[in-house]
Amino acid sequence: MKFLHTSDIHYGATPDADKPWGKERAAVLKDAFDRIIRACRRERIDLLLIAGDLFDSLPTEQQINAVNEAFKEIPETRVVIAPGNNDKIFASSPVLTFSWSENVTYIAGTASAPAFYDAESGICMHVGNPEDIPNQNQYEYIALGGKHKSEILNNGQAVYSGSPEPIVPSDTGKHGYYIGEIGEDRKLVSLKFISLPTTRYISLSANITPASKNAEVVKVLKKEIERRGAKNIYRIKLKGLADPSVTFDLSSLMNTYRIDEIIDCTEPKYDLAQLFKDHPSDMIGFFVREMNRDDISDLDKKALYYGVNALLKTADERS
Amino acid sequence: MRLLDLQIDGFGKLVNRNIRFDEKINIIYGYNEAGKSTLHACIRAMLYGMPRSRGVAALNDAWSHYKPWNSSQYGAVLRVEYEGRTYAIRRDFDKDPIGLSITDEESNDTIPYPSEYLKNMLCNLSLSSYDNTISIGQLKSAADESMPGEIKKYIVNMDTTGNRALNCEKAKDFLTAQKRTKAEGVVTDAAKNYALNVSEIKKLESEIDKPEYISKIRETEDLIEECRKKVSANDDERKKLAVEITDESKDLEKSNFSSRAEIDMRMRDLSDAISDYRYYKDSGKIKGRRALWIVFAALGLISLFVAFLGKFIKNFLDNPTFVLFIILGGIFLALGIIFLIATCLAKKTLSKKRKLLENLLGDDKDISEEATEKTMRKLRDLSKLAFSTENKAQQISELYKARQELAKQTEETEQELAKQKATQEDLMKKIVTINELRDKNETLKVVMARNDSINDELEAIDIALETIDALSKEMKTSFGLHLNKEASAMISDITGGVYDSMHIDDELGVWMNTKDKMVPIEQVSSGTADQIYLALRLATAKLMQSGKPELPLIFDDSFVNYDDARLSSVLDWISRSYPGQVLLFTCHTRESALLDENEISYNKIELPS
Repeated sequence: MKFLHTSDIHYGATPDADKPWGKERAAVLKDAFDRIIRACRRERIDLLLIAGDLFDSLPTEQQINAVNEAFKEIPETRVVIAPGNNDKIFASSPVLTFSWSENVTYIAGTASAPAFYDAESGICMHVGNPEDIPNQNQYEYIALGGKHKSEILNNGQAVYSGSPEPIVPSDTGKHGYYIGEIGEDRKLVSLKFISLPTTRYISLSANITPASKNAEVVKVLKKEIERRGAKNIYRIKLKGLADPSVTFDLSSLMNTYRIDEIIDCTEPKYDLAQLFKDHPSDMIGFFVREMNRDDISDLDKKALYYGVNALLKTADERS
Repeated sequence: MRLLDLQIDGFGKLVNRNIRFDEKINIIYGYNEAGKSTLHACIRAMLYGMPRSRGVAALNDAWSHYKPWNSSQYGAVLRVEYEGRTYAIRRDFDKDPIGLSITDEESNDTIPYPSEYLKNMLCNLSLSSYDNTISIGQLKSAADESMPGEIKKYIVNMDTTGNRALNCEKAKDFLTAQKRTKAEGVVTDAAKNYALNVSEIKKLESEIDKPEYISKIRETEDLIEECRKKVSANDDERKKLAVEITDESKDLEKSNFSSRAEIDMRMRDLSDAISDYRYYKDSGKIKGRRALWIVFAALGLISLFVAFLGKFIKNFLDNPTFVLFIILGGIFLALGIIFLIATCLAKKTLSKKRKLLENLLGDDKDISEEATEKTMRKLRDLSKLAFSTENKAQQISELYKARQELAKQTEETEQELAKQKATQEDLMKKIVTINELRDKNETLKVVMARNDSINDELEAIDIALETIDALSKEMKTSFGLHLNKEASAMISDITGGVYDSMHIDDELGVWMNTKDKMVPIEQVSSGTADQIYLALRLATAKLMQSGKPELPLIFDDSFVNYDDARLSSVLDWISRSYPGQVLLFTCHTRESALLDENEISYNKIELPS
């Protein structure tokens, strides 16, 4: 018996809605769903398990119709859908009164764990923590949902399929779905992860030194982005010690590539000891002495840098 | 540090001059343009160097100004005493950068890092501090009203280096501006809106989680369909009945009867008439009566015949019996006539009845049993027909009522459907709203995180501001305290005990203290204000060099506006209060005269010599 396990599809979502590539991402999510349907047909899947969050939010009639039409095209596959956290079920949810295609079962509630159990194959499906399932050992395969990143637990007995496509910038890594086969003797014969070729979210971290100049940082980042793929979406973090007079302007990168966010975590490199020596009896010296302690908190460190920066910038010899 | 002598190779109009300084008071006297300011500038240049401007500004800077016309040399050597040793400070202004070397005269060692060393010799006093403390220019006239302001400004702007106080203000302004710019990035009410959205979402979710929102539209639509079908069947039924009624009515019309009641009445009448007639006919009344009239007529005749026979013919009757028989005969005849009439009447009655019956039978006057039976049957059929028609009409009426009921039901169910559709629409709207709110909150989450990090930065800036502020106050206070102590001693002295001390309040208001009251500086006489200012400068100068060897005080034409008495007291006071060297540049002879008068020793340097 062949099964396909997926979850957290978030059909209808527009990730990165406020960014220029938002619409493309929305289309990609719908496309991932279509791919899964096609895979069911091609691989002659007997059981399609969708472990939660098929929809991104409470679905409209239109959306339910759209997925139902797709399910109608795979009448040989039994489709079992469990509600997740985003598309959770209410007493009046339209998915419950909708007349689904014959091969579709929409599970009305997840009060009991697991939400679905197929005795013949020993597969069960649950949205959430596998610890909530009593007596886990009786199940041959526990199809889990509720996480965007795939994860294998208990030596492959319990699996989070993860979303077929990344949804938010923290969904780095590979994404796809699982196809498995249960043999005659109720044993898991094979389990494969099919990864979908897709746009990825990638986190880059640039190490800054006091010698780093803006142009070279831009160049290095550009090279890395090109190497990993200009179509991917990046989050860039600058960390390290920077020359206090250098401000990093990476706007050229933002205009050319898909940058979700740039965080500047660099600290200005001040030679505090030298400053203190050079200004033994004026505000700069006093300030450094007052603020710079061994166990300085992050907040105080920031304050120290702000103060020193302001004092140095406004220092002059006129009285 | 104490100045010993200055050997000028070339500086302005001073060329090849050697000037020796005494360890106490030195009066440098010369009329205007004699070279006093040049000398002062030279001393200053020796201690602090002379910056050279570039380009166009170079034409008018100090360096160009003092470059000697005639001498090839542009430099000098200043010999000083510092920490018990003698040093020669040489500056060569021609070199670029200006050459500076310091030699320990005793050991002949050249001091490495001469600029650093010179700074130390000057107690790290910067040039501007020098200008603010130990180098004193022309003191204000006693009538200058801005003296209190000057004093205040002086105090306020002083700190241990003399010129950084202002920068604190600038630094604070810089930080405040930074804070303002960053604060603009904070989206106000983000957290509030987030919380509002969350509670709104919860409210909506609990609203739609109710059974009344479950869609029953399909069932209701089925119901309506059923009702419609029933109505349709009802209509068909009624139509069918109506057609039947029409046909039946036609038949009825043909029979000339207009209602079943009529027919029944006819039937009753006919039946009565038949039975009546038959009964009458068969009752033998007629026969009886007929028989009777014949009998009575016969009897009468017989009686009469007998009577007449008895009397007239045979004479066997007596008169009474004759009369009897006549009477009898008469009676019998009468009776016979009565019964004859009765028979006629009966016959007539029968005939009437027959006529009636014939009438009731209609055109077919056949009164035979068959015919009457047939007629009765016909009537019965008609009656049945009429009954059936009436029945059908009744049915139609009832069906119509039922249809009205159904129609009402349908309408009610349709209204119910409309309500349900509205509820579903409401549900959909709520769902859409929930989704929108969730999306908004996703965005708000990001905004709130950004707000938080901005607020962290703002907090850090606040800490920096507060620290600078606190330190600044501390510095002012601590310096103020020291200055106060030092200055108070001098003030008491210089004012001859009029004021015994001074203090500065939190708002930097300056107060002069007497034994029993405090006088704000604004109310002090201007002459006294002069003295106070002088005392302050001296106190500051002393404080700047706390514990270190004294630097020379330089008065450059300071007492031009003082009158003799005031000048005398000041000179006396200076000589007593300041332990270090004093250089007094003047174009008057008053100072030296007064010093002579007060028997204060001094060194006189005349320019030009």
